[in-house]
Amino acid sequence: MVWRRFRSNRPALWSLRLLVVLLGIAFFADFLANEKPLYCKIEGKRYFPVLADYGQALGWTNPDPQFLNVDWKDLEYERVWWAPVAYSASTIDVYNAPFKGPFDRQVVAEDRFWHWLGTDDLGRDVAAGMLAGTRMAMLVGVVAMSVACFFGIILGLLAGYYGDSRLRWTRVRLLANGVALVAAWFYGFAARSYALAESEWPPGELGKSILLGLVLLVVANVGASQLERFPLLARKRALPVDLLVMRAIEVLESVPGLLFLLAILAVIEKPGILDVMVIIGFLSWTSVARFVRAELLRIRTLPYIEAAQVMGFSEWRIIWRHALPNALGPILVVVAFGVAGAILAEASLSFLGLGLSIDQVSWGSMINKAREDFSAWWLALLPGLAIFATVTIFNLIGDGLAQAMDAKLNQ
Amino acid sequence: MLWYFGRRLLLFVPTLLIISLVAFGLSRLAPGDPIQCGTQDLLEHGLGANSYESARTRYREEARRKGLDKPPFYLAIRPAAYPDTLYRILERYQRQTLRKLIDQYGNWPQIQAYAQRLEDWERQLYQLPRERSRDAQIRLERDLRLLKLSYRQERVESYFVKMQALIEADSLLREDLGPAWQALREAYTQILDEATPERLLQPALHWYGTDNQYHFWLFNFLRGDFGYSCRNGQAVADRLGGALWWTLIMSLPAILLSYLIAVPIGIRAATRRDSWFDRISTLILFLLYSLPSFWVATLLIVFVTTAEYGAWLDLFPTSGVGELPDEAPFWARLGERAHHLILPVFCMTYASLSFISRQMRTGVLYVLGQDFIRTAHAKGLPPRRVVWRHVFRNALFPLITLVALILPGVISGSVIVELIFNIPGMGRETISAIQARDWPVVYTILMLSAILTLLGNLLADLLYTLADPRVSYD
Amino acid sequence: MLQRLSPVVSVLLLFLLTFQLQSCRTDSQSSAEEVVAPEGPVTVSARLRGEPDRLSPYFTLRGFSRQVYRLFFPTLLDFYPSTMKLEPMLAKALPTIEPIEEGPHAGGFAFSMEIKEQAVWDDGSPVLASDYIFTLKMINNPKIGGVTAVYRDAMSFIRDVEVDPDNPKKFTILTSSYYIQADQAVGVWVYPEYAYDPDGLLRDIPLVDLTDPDKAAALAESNENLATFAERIQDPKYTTDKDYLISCGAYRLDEWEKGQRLVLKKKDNWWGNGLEKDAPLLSAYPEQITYKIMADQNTAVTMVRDEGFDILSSIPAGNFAELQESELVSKNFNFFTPFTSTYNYLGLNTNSPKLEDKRVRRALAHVFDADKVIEVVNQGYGKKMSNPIPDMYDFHDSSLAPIEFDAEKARTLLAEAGWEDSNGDGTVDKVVDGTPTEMILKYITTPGNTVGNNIALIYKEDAQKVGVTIELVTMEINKLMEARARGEFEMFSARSGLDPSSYDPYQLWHTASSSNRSGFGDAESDALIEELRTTLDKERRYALYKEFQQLLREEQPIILINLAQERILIHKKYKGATATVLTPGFHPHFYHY
Repeated sequence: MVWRRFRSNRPALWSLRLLVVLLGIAFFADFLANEKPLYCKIEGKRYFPVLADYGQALGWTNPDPQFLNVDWKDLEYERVWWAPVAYSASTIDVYNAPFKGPFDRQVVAEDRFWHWLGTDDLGRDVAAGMLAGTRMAMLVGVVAMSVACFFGIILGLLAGYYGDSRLRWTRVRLLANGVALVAAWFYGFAARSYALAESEWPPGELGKSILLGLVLLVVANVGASQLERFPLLARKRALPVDLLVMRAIEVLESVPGLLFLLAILAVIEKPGILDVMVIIGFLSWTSVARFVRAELLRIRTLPYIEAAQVMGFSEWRIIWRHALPNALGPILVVVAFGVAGAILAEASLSFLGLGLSIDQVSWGSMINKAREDFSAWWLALLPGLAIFATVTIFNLIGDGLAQAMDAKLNQ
Repeated sequence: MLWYFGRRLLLFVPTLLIISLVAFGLSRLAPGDPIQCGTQDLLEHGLGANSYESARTRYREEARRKGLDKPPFYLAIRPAAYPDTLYRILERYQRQTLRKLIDQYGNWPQIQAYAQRLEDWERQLYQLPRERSRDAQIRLERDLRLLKLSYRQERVESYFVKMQALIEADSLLREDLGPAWQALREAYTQILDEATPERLLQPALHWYGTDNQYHFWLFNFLRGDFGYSCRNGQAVADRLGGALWWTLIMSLPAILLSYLIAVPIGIRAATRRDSWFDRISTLILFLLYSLPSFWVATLLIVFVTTAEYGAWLDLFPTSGVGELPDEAPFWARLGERAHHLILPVFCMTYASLSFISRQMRTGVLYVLGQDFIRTAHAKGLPPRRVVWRHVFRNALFPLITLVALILPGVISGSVIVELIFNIPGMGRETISAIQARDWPVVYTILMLSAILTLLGNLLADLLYTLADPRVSYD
Repeated sequence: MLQRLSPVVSVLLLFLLTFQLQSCRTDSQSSAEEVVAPEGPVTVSARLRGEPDRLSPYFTLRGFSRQVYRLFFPTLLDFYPSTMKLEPMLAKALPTIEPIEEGPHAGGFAFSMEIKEQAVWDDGSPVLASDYIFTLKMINNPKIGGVTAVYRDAMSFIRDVEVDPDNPKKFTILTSSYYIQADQAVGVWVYPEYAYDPDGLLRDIPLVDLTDPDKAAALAESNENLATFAERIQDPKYTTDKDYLISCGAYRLDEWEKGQRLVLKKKDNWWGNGLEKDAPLLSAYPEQITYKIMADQNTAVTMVRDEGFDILSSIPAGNFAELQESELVSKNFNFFTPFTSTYNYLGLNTNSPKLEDKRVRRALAHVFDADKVIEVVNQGYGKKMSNPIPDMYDFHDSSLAPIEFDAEKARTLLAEAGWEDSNGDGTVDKVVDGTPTEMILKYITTPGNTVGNNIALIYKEDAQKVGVTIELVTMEINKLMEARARGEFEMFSARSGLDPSSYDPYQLWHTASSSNRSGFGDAESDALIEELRTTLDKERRYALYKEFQQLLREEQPIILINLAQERILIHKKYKGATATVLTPGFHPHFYHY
């Protein structure tokens, strides 16, 4: 039903198709732009160099010694299939450095090697960079916003729906959870700081800490359930969810993001792209939560919500199936811009040495390069256009989704 | 309801305290040595023992001057393995190394003994007459510098092996330094043998009293003394006063403009959905959003501020905020300032247009689908009236949320625009203060932005109730 | 009439007026055939890339501060830019140096100088030796920390100063030793005692007590004046407020708009007027010098088109080419590309187990293609170097040729040192201290170091071809310093400044120097450096220099990139103005119409 309505929205449908194309590019970037051939036959033997690269990266195969330091364009081939773009994103072309534009004169051996979209300060091909950058952009955008949405929607829902007095827990349960939280912080983080800082793979250790925290919370709640049998301890008190969530948002928004990032730098030795994505998501959940809460404040007073409550539907069902779909509109806008914002944020994080190392190319790194030589307009415009496409696509899809899910908007 | 808002106002104080605590904690974590802010390489020393001692004394003096030799906070909840005197070790890397050792082995007394032996060893090494066994001395000094910062077992032991070889090879060194060396090695072995990692699992509370860094800062802050920038000693209030002024005169017009332009566009796009106006305006605004602000700023500077591309394009001054003698009349000064600020304000405005208009559009679209709008149309009310009277009020929620977000943004400024147009605003101040680890400045900016954030939230929550009387906070 | 118009209209009118005035100005410029010097007093405006922090010489080490304060704080001796020779400025002549035969400082050296008789302070009182003594006391006050302490260390070889009883401007500096830059080091800035110590807090404390560390420490406890003075002088107004920055230079600070500009105006009836013929260092032609602060390169380049600056330096290569092609700019400005006295290099951590063998380091040098790097990254600017002691010095050893790019040789050297690719993964390896180690070199850098990072990327490609993998690690500057302190790196890029008059190998190459980041040196090289620094005999010194250069070549602790080349624009209206080797490459007080 929803899908049919979505399909009838032509811009949204086309945006979805384009998104699939983008994801395809992100996935197959190495096959679209590479200095190595996709397939070649040398002296009777067949080789698949690009696939071999994947094998090496996964640790399954070892590099072929005869191809270790060879210049691929100089080899004698019997048959060869090249990738559409003749460069990898990080291939340095000293003859076309620095900053050759798409319309400038370029020094290339054959037409195949023409830089259709120009080069950057080290002669790296911009077309290859755009293709390779798509992967990073999709990852960063999607993962970061997923993290942001996860926390933002849950906390915004809780704050907006329950307000300050609707969530009532027994005193025992409140106490148990409080103690469990402090214990989770102490045993999960404070006592494990060495393991967290020095481990080879920080996300693993972080996962362990979080798991420990969750276990403690579960134990606390189970214990509380048991103790609730005693009427003395079963007196209920309101947990001011809205208050807590809003104060948390205020604290997070008041402290400059830069400070958080620096503190994280101290704890994590070598932040990689995964860490960057999580960090960006962690710093963006507050805007999602705000919008969700605002919508919920409005929605929770609506008659059909009250009706559902009277009818005895479980709170969870009310929130999930009745309240949330109506709150989607603004959230989707935040998400759509958030994806683009995350991509741009990755670029500014590189100023701090967080995220990608300098030999990796992304849209953001190309935009940063455009700062140096302003007349290299193609380095700013092309990634800018890519980001424009991303923003538009996500916005239109979001629009289509909101429309399709709420019959009332179909006028 | 009034009671709710009263309670909210009261909550300002604890929230601000928590914010300051969080910032304080983060600042202690951030890499960099605040004692050396504004000075250079205080621990550097030249040849000879005197130089070494005087470098240590200087460092201690500087720490005392900045108040950084006090414990950080009133209390600390830490694993029991930690001593409560760790803050007295001023050199950041050394403190970190000791901390990592405690995290591994949990036995502070032994680690303290080891640190003591290390210090004795260092002193003895630097007091050796320079002419004897100079080669070995140099190597020992080098290895010692690295040993002091090592905490992983393999590394420590590899340095021990190296230093052992050097001492054994030279009989003079063996004589002078032998005992101290033995003591050092034994101290390390003791750490390993008598490790008590279980102490790391016991929480312990230490109370430091009011003579701590946080209290000192807080007390002064409440009295209105915002401290001194550690970079050039200037009073923070002076430093930030000018920057705040410049940021305000840029961000207020920028915010006003962006709302004045974006809101009507959003509404129009929603009322004429899928018309060419809706589509074209959306695309143009998305395009503007996607163009990085530093690029647009530079573009404007390069093309419309000089006569390079035609004298008719020399419309605006290139940078800065203009210079006019103080005697110039008010309007002349206003004109000069405004002229300089047109481009920066434009750069600060254009990027937010699409987000605001898009949110507005979504909100209006939602309302338009409601029954009461159809009723209003059916009643024969003029469309314009329907839009502005009924639709607008009900679509206000996302807009109000934006207001809450915007208020702290008023003083945060835009770093990029300020850097490129050379405007001494708050954005630049914040970034440069954090990068230079000028904490007094950072804390002040932080508290200011925190107060505005809280006010913004309060205002937004108030406006929600005004826009839709059904909203209540219980 | 303006008062009767509504405010909005008058503002609009003002906009239009400014617009008109600007366009008028550009029109008249474009019709001029030659650059005619404007009427009136000489003014110069230059750009500063960053903001000075403090403007008092002994309280800051920043280059930007130095550019500004040198115009109002003269030194006794200074380098004359065109000749790069040490010349007297406040002093009458270069100091005469004699060994001290007897007395408490026997074994040291005596530097005798006299202050110019015309030199006076702003209040008319003469600049005397007592002011110099006061300055030394201030530096040696143990209660003053921070940057001043760094100067204290640098000048710790000065023990005492004796004033000539007949001539209060004549004095002799008694030092404990001689070292090659001593004459430069004694000729420093002189502070006015009347302005900075009006109560004479330091007057009764003998200088010789303060230069003795033990006595100074004792005095710090017993004498309260030291603490009082230290408190007072460290008040920020003494380093930033124009009423408290007092000296005898040609200019005074007239205005400092934070973050925007600094304006210096020439003092009326300055004592140095007319003395330029005999003491060219005292030239001060402009009546006003303005330093505008502009960090953003593109904006600065754009401002130059509008003649927003009279002098622009540190221009990126790409922008420089653009400016050269611009008609508007070529009409008004002269272009200069002087070689500077700074060079760039890649430092190697000789203590790392992977780089301990000097053959490995030599292999790394062979695989660094300096020509390619200069061409691609610097657009041809910069000169290849053969030696950290370049040919601007007489004692440069020209027999050492630059290390050529030779991948074969690199491979052979690595193999000789025992590094081979035993597991076929493209990187050579070896068993070091019992563990098989791959040759993966960690190159630490900050993200803002674009040039260094680009060089590293090119180098990484070339190095991979011989089996050396360079891992580029970007980190924030404080984290980088930590990694450096812990020795957790193999390579880094850096820049080093050179002294025009002499070369002091201590800072980069002595084991006790903390700036010696490559870990170079042992007892022998230390002894060599120490002898070199303290030898008065020029012949012997030159021989030692030669030996030292051979040693550096053999050990290969760094890989030389290039000798930096500046790109400067100077307005044509200044007759005879040129750029020089001496940092920052331009000297506004020498320029005139």
